[in-house]
Amino acid sequence: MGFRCNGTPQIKSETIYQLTVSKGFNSLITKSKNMKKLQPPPGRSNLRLLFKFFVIMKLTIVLILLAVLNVRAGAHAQGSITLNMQQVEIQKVLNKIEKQGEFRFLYNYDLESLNKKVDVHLNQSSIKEALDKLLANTDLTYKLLENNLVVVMSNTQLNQDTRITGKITGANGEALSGVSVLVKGTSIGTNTDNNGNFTLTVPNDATLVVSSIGYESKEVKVNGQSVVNIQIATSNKQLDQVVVVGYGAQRQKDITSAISSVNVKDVSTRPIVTADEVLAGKTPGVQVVQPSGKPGSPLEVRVRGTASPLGGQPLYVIDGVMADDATGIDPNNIESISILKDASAAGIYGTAGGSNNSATNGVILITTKTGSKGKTRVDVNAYTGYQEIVKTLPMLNGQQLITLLNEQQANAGQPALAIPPDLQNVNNNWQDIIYRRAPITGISAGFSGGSDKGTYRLSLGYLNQDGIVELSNYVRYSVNFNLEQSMNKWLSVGAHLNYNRTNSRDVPDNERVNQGGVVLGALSTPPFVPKYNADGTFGLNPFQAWENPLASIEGPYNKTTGNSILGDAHIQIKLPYNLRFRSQFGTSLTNSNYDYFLDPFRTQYGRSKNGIGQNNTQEIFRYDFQNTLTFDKHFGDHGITAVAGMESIEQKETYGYMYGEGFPNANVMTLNEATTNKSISTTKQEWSLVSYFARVNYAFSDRYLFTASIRADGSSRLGTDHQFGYFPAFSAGWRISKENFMMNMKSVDDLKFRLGWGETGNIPFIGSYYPSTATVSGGNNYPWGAIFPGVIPSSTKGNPDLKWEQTQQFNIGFDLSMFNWLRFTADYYNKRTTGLIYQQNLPFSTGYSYTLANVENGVVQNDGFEFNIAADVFKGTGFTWTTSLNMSFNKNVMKGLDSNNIIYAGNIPERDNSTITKNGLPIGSFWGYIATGVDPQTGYVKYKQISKGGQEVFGGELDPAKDRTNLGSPLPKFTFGFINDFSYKNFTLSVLVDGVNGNKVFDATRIETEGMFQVNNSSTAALRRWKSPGDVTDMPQARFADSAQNTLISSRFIEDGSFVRIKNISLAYNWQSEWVKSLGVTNLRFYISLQNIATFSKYKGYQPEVNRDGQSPLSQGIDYGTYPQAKTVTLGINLQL
Amino acid sequence: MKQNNKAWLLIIAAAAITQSCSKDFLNKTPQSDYTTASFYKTANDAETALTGAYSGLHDQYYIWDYQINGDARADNAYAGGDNPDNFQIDNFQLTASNGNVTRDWQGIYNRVLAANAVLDNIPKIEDPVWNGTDRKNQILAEAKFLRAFHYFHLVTTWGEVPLVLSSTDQDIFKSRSSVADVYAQIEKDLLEAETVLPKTFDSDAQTRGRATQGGAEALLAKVYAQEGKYQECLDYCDKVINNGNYTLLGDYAQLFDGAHANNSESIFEIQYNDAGAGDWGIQLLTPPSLTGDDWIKFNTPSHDLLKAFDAANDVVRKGVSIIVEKANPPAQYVADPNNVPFIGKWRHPNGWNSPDNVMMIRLADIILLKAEALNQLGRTDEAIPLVDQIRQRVSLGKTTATTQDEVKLAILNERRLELAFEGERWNDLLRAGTDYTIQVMNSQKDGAGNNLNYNVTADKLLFPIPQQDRDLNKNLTQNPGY
Repeated sequence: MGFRCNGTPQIKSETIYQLTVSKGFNSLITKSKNMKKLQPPPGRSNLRLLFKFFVIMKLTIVLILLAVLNVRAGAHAQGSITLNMQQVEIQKVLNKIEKQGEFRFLYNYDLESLNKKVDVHLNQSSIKEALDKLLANTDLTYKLLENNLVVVMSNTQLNQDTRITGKITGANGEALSGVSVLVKGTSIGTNTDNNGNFTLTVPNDATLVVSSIGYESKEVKVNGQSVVNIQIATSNKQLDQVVVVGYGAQRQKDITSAISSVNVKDVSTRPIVTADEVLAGKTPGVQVVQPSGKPGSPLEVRVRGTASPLGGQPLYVIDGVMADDATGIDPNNIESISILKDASAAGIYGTAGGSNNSATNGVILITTKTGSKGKTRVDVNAYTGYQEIVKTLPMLNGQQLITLLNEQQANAGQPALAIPPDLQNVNNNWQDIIYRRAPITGISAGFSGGSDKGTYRLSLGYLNQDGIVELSNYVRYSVNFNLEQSMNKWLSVGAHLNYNRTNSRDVPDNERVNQGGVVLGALSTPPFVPKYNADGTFGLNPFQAWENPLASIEGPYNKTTGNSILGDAHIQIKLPYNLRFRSQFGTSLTNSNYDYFLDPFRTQYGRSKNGIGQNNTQEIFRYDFQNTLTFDKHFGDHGITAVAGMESIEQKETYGYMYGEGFPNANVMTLNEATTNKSISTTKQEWSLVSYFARVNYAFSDRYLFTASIRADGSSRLGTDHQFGYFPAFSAGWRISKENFMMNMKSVDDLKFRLGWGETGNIPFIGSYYPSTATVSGGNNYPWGAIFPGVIPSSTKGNPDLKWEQTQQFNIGFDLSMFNWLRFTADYYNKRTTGLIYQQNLPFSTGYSYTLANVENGVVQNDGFEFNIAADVFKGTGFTWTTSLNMSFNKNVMKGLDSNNIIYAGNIPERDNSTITKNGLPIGSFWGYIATGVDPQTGYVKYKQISKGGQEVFGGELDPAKDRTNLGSPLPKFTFGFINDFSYKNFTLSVLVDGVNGNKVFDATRIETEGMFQVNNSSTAALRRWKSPGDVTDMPQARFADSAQNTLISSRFIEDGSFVRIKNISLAYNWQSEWVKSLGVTNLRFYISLQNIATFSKYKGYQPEVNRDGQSPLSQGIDYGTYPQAKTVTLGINLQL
Repeated sequence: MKQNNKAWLLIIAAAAITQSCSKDFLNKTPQSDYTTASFYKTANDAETALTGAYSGLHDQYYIWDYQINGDARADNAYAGGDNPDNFQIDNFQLTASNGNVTRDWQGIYNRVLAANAVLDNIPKIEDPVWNGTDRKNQILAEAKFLRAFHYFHLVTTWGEVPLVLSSTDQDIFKSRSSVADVYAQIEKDLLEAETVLPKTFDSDAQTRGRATQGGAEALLAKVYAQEGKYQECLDYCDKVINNGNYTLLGDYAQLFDGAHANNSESIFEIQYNDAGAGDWGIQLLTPPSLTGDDWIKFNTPSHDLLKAFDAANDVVRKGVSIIVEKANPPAQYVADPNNVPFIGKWRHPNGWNSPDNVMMIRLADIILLKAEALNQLGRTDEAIPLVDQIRQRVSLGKTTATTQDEVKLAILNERRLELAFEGERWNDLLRAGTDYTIQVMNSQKDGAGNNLNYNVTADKLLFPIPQQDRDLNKNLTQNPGY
């Protein structure tokens, strides 16, 4: 939760005690039946009463009070006492002082010490001095109360138990239920009821320890009071911060597994489009990869490596509802994100997950902002700015190119080419033409408030992001509404609703220009190709009849509109015996409508088809029904929290497809105007999951912490006999800093060791929710005159024996916090996925393409070490500096696979697959030949012929079966994030630097730009090409059709993908002035944010963080004309009313 | 505790809702796919499965790859186009990772699977509709014909290939069977089919589009010829010719004008229409004047073929087979952009949606095959009239060849001109002999008379086994030379 309670200044504990106790004391007195008014001198009845009172009072409390009130006593010292007496009983002295009229005394007449005779010499003494002298060498003590009332009592009285009651309230005075109230050092304790009240029998000298999740725990001495009301403050200390865990929440300090909570504050000063971006660089063990710069494109999140070859993404749980991704929410609405990294934490989610998400890949728990009780608030965040390509790549000019092309033709025995006369003056820089400075604007406004009974928050958001490639665009409208309401003492209800509408226009990338790829088109289209012909059609490469990239941008109309609703309604019921029942019905509904239209005149393909129209629709509906029962009890040193529940999820998907050709013109793009080749299709599929789960957290004495959980998951996606999987998890923590022998180490604030083991499951999604079922595919029709329907066996072979893929993870780590400013967390883990579900590619000769099968001995192993150091380097009044560094080392390797369990992926058109997933290598390693250089005699690339002792040969002599080898892994050896936050007066500056190291990128773009085998443009690297025998260079001969096979998939195109990047710099200015306040603005901040502003890397392409194939683990790190990332500059404003 | 009674009630209700949906809740079957277990039940299902097996004839391999392999690999055409994979085939620089090789292998085997699925699942079906008919056996026979047809293409392209005969074959990692075993299986399927298949079906389209008795016999004749079993070839050519169902069309041009689909000369013809079952391949072959686009075209006629037409003074068949026109960009090895030759046998590309059927076996092929068989069996005199019969239709005089060797070459040349671009040339060359094929191919010249240096060796006459499949199936050996 972590916001400061601005309205309530931090009250010094001393003051609180004083106020509380005196109040208690007075009420005690007032309640005493026989004493209407406290009257000195004491009569008989008063004496009895006093006696009674002193019985109740306990000496230790008095002592404490004395200590506390010592300071206070000074305040009463103006009254001076002058007295000289010898050998007189103390009681008489007191009477004497009382008679001076200023002070009144209360004491028990039976106290023998009162009869002790003393000498008194007081001269203008304060009451304190007087009593100190008077009572010295006696067993008597005193305390000064308000109204100059002085209590004198014995300090030898025995402690006695007393029954106390009290109420625990929060910062705004709201009653807090379920708060643990413990007597320090004992096993006596209870929890507050629904109204925040508690009753407890405690020793008079007891100290109460009050603790509740999300609040700072507090120790309060009972001091003999019978009513102890305690107010506790919301915690903003990290250790006390509440971390959302599965089906509940825990304080950071009680956590025994690897859970990271992520700081989301920077959402308000950065143009963050999707929630995943918030995670980038923030926390160890979590790598966020932006596969491309296309606006609205999903990010890839890897939590502790890639656990499954068909992998998938982490499970997202948004306000308790499982989701496939976080695109359904506006990041401005995020209150907190925590990531369950190890299986002992994620195990409670077992296997749960969507089509391609599972707890095996970690769980990302997101909560959205809610209102808070009290004042209504309006928060506005608005920014605008622009994005630009990070850099352009140097390409040949027209003259350089035509020289190259003719050389290329000549070397292949082809006639020379001449630029047609009408194109000789054309000189287009295609990168300048397709890339643009693209604006981005985002606005979000939140309205929140609440009363004792409930809270609400409504938020509206708007985002308009143009892509850096012409015409690409992403617009999002979002509404978020959260409501929590308590209906009565035991029932509360609430709802979350997130609605999004998105409009996006896409441009195709990751393809060659003749397939419509815009980025490769911009690079490879010769400068002498015109933009448009006189008739409005797109310019053609005169030698290849390929159109220029504008044809792929302007020719097709690719537009998608999407709607997403994510939310839930829930009720929570408080039950006796510390039980709490929660029932939640969540839904996730997304639909999208994709329209494609290809101009019937302007593009070649469009002309040949007279225009093409296509419409795809999809609707994915999921409900998620959860019922949980939570038990929470603390007694003595023991604390138990247990949750048990069941969950059922069902997802239904509907897809529609319509296609038609033959449009009279481009004015109407809808399919009603299509005249030929119409085709339609609708498909449906569904899956379901039923789960039962339980978890127990047990804490002893705040030092020994244990967690155990189990989940049973049954999935419709497996064969009848294998539907259920059982996934246990255990973890333990030892807060060694709470041990006596550590108590003296003042420098250590907290030290906790954690140990955990757990299991999770996964069923990767490969095209079908029915991998167990053998199916036949319709639509394989044939015309005998009319068309007759036909079916053939589906290319996927059903496997009824398919079982859950299981991941076991072991985690050991510790959390250390020192000197009140340094925090250190480190974890080692070992994550093994067994019974791998493989898309077992079947030999083509079977006629099938693949089946899903468990590879029993197959293992994906991820070993890793990760740490985070955070420090409040400087905590001055004007200047503060906090820093944190996180690093994650992960080693991924496949084991136990045989030669039939090889997956090839990452196909490059007209080449081959470029990655391999096989035994002994990391998932998706690059696979190809080793290029050793260019032969000075022939200008051909030489390759290592591994099968024959590694001699150097030309491409034609290579055996694809034997000469290809591992060319490195696209997975980094380590990743890091380095965050620095500075604040000086009204300025705050945040700098986020992140990076990866040790990964390879396959720059397949260079096959096109350095291939020199087709009639297209090349990069300036081609100027180094071999031209005549004897040339020593790294760039081979230009040769049409590449008969020398210089462009095989080889180490020639593999590059180091390591980079260090300044991911973000945000500078904000908080404008505090009376004038601002007079406008009713409580907070006004301006900021400037620079995203992705500099990347330090050896990579030759646009940017080393690139993934043509997006989220697929099997083919990472391929750049094949992939939409480049942008750097972004935005100016923004935060306003709070 | 009234409040708690209510609370418990709510909880029980929630639990009940959860429980009520748990039993059948996990029982999901595909909604948009037929399951194998539930599909094959009726006679109609059997026909649908069979139609699915025929749909394989619209695979990319039968759309145009067989023409590239049969003509561009041979001396009839150049690869044309802009696809390095096709260049590799044309130039005998194939590698095992060639995309066409891979997709052909995959495509054909996928179609074998469809035929196998019919043969596996239809025997179990009992349907009263079939009472008193032989339809169920015919369906199986049609599937056997298709399977044999596919294996014929496999064995001639790759030699030894895995013999997969069931859709549920547990032996996923099959080794290659000997060429003899593959041929034996092809013969077995066709011989079994021949006796069951009818001579005709209800319509011309079905009679020419489906497997018929004549079709099985014609395919057997071609299979036997390729095996060198010329006596059996002769027997089966005679069966076809005497079948009574087939006659040569009078006008050669009508064979390809798009207006004479399923004519009397056609024995087995791939059916297309433009209402959802068009042939997109024609667009890749035919000239801009027909397609309206500027794409560089594939499978462009070779100088050698043009010369062959001209040498034979074969105006009719050249005119049908080849269109010469102005084009930009020009085709391979063609210097004059005003006279670029293109394939002209199918003239209705219709925007990647050609309705023109494509004949796979026609009577002229069988007649010439009979001539070849007779000549090979030493009955040259009987062979010559058959050649003349074919020449006569295109207004050519009688062949001047007389000796067995001369006639052999005359028949080969006649087949070349008659069947140009129909994917037959490569097999014809192979039957003429390895040495002959090598000699022919290595003497190919471009338009300027320069040798194209194909450097063909005996090893290059078969395709390599696709690397991708060898990666998956370690039991697959590679052909020599790759």
